[in-house]
Amino acid sequence: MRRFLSGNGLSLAFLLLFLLTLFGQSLAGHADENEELLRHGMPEVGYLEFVGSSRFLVDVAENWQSEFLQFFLFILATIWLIQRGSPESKKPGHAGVGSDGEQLVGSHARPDSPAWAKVHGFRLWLYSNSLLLVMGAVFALSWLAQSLAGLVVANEENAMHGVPAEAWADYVVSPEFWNRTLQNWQSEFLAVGAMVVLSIYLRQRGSSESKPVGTPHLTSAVEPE
Amino acid sequence: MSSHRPQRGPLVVFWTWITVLAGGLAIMIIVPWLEV
Repeated sequence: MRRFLSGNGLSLAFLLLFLLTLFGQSLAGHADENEELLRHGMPEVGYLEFVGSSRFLVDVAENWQSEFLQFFLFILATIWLIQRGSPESKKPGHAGVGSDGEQLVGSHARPDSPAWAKVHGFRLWLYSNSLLLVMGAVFALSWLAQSLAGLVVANEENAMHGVPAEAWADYVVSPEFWNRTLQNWQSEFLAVGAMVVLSIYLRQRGSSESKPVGTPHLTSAVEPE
Repeated sequence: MSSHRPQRGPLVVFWTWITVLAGGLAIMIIVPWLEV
């Protein structure tokens, strides 16, 4: 057990943080929702009813989609774009998907390479892009979830104000949907760009996200050639 | 200690995260879908 914890602490710590903050979000969201209902002289909702409602889910989904879009674009962009000096970037001259030899695929695979790195055709293509595809799928599905839950919330408010219900196709071009979407995207792109640029000149000793402290500023990737 | 034991951990956390992602997405899509 100790070995399991020490060997997987990074993912377990973030899983715990995710669960705790999601629970915190549900408590704060529930309290906020009931304050709002009280102000309008309406009856309070129960906790379980709130966490199963679109009001809670739209807020979860809109943050999920932007985080996964961030990683999707970062994985995609780092194939082709270089930032000289950043540990997040490959070295100048290494843009592109790399040769089969560099990527250890097909006849260049090692005996302990993943099974689908040793084959050719569709399975090799799929495995070669699997990280990008899964991050992209989580982004697309959580953005879809945001649009569905957001539509339900918008139509609840429309009903309260005696306005006819909107269709999904109308909601996804509405200012509200894009306001919710873009306010998340802008912060993700700012943070990713800051990480890429600040890590050229700044260091955190001991972090895999940083170059070693004494590495020259203009050295990009720290992985072996 | 068997050399296989440390290799089980990453697989456990991998499938845990896949389950969290798939479960979260399923709830977030199906619940509002039923209300649309």
